[in-house]
Amino acid sequence: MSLARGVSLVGAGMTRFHHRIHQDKSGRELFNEAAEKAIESVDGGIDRRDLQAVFVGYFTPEAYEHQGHIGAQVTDWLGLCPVSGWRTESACASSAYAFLTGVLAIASGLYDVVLVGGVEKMTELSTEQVTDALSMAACDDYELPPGATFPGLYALLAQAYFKKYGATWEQLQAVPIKSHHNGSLNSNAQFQEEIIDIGNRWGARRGLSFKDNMEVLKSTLNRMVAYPLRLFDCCPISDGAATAILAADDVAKKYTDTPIKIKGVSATTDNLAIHDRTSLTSLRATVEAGKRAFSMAGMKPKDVDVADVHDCFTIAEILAIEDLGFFKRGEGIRAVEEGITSLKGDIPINTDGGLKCKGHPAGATGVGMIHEIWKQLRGEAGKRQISNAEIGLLHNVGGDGASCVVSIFSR
Amino acid sequence: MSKEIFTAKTFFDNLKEKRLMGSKCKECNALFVPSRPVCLQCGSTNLEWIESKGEGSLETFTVIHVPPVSLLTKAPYVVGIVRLDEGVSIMGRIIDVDPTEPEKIELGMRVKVVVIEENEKTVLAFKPFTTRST
Repeated sequence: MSLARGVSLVGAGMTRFHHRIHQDKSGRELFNEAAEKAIESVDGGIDRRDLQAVFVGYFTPEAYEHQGHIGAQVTDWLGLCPVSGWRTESACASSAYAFLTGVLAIASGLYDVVLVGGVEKMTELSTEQVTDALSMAACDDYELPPGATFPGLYALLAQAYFKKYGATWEQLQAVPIKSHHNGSLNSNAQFQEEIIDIGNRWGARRGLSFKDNMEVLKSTLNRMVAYPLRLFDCCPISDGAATAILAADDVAKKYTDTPIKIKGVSATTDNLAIHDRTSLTSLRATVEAGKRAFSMAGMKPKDVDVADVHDCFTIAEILAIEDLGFFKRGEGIRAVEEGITSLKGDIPINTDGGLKCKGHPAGATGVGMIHEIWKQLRGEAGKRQISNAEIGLLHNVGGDGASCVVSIFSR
Repeated sequence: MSKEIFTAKTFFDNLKEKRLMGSKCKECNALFVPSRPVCLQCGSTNLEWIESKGEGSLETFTVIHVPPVSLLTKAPYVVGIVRLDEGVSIMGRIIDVDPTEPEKIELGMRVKVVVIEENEKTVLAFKPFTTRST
């Protein structure tokens, strides 16, 4: 299976993801900021009137901004009316579906050049209210009445994984330690500090000091969210937007000499409630999307040079790297512990700091990940650059795995 | 096509009466709790209501410390997935266990259904029990 018409990335731009700095801006204002950066990023320049459609992911604008009708809202503010524009929603994968919609629209021949992206303006609400908004991705009939939350659902998967493979919470901490190191090298990241530095900064106010990352992670500063997951096992609440410009291969040359080609793309679903799934230690939507995207690309996991995978919680990163076939079942944690997924490892994962440190404005996350792959494959990732990265992979999950997009890109 | 209508409302109306209901495929015998209208195994829509015994073992659990707004006063509390003896799993609140000592909550322990009324909702819960050896 292949696309009827090839599609490439010719531009990408994002706001920094953050919990404070965007408080005075609305969702559409953030989206505009990201879009202007994408327009500026096009090597040969682009006239905004070349953009024939805008697809925008936003998970719950109704909850955060009392705003629906996001498609028209963003085309209006970008000065693009009457071009078509609509919102895609698939929980935390909302903007990967905007990307997918853009790919399909170009591959179908309907358009030649489109803007895709996503936004989420989460800090309007308290932590408990955000917890409510995010829980709309879970099964309202059968998962929410018992009191499940998003961290809680992943905690259930973590416990099942620990039991099956004899792994421990302590081992899992290799994930946030790596993420914080990568985040410290990314100027777009919400958190740009190593865990030890955050620990000592927070600790100073309480008369605490720490010797290493693990001591911080085991301290009372790292409060329990949903046993066994603590604060540093969870991605933060963030505001932000990310966008990318897609063009048909036959017109991409007009904009850049080095388009990033989309080699494979797939979207899948799984049972909404996790108790109905076939496994509690694997996300079937990821397994299937990965297989199909690799098949379309004619590639295998070992061909990938750099991957951004959905690490909303530490355990999610482990499930992802196993489900995508980078590691055997039960061996993901050890791979992270051994540094195989670090910037210097064989398969660097989440070079941007991941959702954990780059931040997770839910609707913006998928295209925010594409932004990192774009940077890496163009050799523009600065201190976190993976040398000679030619093949990159995006893996964006909706909720706790009921929907998933995997896409493979090549320089 | 089955004449039965497998709605969440019917599921919870039954639960209120302490009946944990599922649906069973009349074509391939696959079982689903809660009930659902299409068989995940063979695709048939020919299913019938079936009542679970409501006993099983704890498959996985978590302790919620940061709850949704409606449960602010309840945290910390335990949520788990129970593997029913009929061979299917379902999520529920786990009560009569100590949320402050999660290390002592054993995966695999035997639990049975209890029904809680909370915030004007019927909530499926489970509590530990010991089977008497005969």
